[in-house]
Amino acid sequence: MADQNLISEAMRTTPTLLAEWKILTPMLAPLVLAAVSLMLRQKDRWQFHIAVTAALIAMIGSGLLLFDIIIDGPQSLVMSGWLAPFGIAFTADSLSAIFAFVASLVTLLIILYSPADVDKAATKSGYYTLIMMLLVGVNGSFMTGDIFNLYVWFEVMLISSFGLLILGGDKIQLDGAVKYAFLNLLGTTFFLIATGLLYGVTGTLNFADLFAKVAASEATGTLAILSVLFLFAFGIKAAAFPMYFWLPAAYHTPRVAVSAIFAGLLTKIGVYALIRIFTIVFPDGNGAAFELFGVIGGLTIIVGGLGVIAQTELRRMLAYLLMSGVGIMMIGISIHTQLSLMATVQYTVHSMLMMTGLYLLSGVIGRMAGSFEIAKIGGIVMQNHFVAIAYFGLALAAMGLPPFSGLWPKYMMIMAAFEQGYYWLIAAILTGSLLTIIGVGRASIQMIWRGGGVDTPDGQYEARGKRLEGKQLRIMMLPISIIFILTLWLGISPNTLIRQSDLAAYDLLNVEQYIEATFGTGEHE
Amino acid sequence: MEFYLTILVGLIFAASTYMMQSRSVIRLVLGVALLGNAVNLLIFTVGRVTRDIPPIIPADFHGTLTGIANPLPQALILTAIVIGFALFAFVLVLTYRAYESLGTDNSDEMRIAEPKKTQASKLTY
Repeated sequence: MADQNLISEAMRTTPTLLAEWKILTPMLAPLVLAAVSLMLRQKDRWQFHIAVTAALIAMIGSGLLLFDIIIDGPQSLVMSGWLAPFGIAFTADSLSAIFAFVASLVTLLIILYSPADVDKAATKSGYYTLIMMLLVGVNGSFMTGDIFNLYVWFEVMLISSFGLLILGGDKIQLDGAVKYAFLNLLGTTFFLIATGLLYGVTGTLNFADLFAKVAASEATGTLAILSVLFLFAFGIKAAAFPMYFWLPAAYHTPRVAVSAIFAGLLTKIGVYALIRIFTIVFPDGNGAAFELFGVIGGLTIIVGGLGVIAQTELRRMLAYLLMSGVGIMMIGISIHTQLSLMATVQYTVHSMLMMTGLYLLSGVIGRMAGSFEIAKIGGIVMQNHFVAIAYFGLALAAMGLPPFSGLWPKYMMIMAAFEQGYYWLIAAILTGSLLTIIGVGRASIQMIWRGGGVDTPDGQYEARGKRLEGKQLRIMMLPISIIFILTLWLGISPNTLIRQSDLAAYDLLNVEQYIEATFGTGEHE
Repeated sequence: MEFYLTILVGLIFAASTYMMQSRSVIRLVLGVALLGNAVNLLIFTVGRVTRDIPPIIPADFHGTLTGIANPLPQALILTAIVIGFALFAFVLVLTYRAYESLGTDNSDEMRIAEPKKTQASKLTY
């Protein structure tokens, strides 16, 4: 029966179990519900509930997947039963599941915030549908085991983000969107170029297959160029220096909930792709890439820190704060040890939560003060104590000070750099932190403590902003409070996250399990 | 054949890079569209151009076919064309709307989202 053998080599012969579909829930649930919400787009009251359900299912699905992965190792599923490397594989290791879980959680919180920020017209134009599609793209990128499929998920994410960015169509939004659209389009096109050439060199697109093929390939020069091309493409996505210009040009233009989801998720996809590509496809960096990561990361931290000091607009300041964090994640990839990758994973999770919280809070502060110009905001502590406390907590988390979640990943990153003797990276991290403390601290003094705008004399209170209604404020503060509690919890008791990120870093440095999961689908029956 | 295609891809890349240097947004759009097509041609070329039979298995044939053309690059290009077309349509509408409401197609003059000069106060920290 030669035919039968041939078929069983290319296709799985056992039926797919329902439990194996778990890996698809984080994108399937939002995808189906996004389609439903599009059909019901005239029923604007239903949209919010559909979106909450989608994010909740995605969160629970990725949470359950994470438990499975902790017990059984990476999980995989191939499309239409074509085995890897012929079929498109979805392979999730602990890194994918952690990121998908936090991304779904962040999306859920932003959806909860949205009723205060999104009007009826925007809801009818598909705000919630686009948010769900963004989550589809993000979770799909985390789960996929195929590099071309990763490109497709990037585009799903990109096109939804375009829609969200221009929703409403103000002048300022169109201006920001032009820069965002062109530079991001360039980034994904370079990703496609690199993917095409990688296929030309290795003849495969599957991550697990690429691991062996790239290691065996003799075209080391071409592969070194390709690794730099990938670094460039994902560097644009991650907003690393010097490819970051689209981020501060665009992130302050859309409504606050949209800025928050961009800040929480989009740059992290770039970082995730860098981590994935440079652990499984180019595990030894191929040439100068790892040193390059360090240089780019260090400069990103410093430039981001300087940007935090220089900016006079609250949301632009946060954009540079976000960028400075990306530098720390890139340094973790550069050092490339168990400890540093663990710190990267941990910092990414921390940054997803903290940046979302800060952007959402900037919406509250902007609403209270009637302006996003730091010089015009004042007297927040007199208007509302909770808002002031939340800002302080999240600002401390951003600076990396205890008792919030920013401390531990930064501490571990410095430890990792110390062990490997990268002293200038330590200097970059610490300088960046100092710049952040100065910038964010200065903004806090002005916005929280001073009585009013810049020229208000000391000791006087003359806030001009309008009081927020109780219900509006409650809607806005609920997700922020959840993020506040989470960052505080991760700061006081970091063990849960440390254990997970340790596992993720172990999976990244020991890819055998990932490869086994991708190729072994259906064989264990 | 591959050699000539490579040269052609290089030329299109050069043309699109030149277009993207322009300040005029419409040239930028054309440059990006050209870049997308260059990439499609590139993927086609790296899939190896051969004079083989189409990858269609005869009805009663069992076994491995040899000497068939590689079907994967075509599938990749098809996906990339569809995605590229959608993004191109979006960018075209976006630039038109931006031109309408900002009143300029010069990217140097698109500065509404950039910070304005603010007056420093003597009390600023």
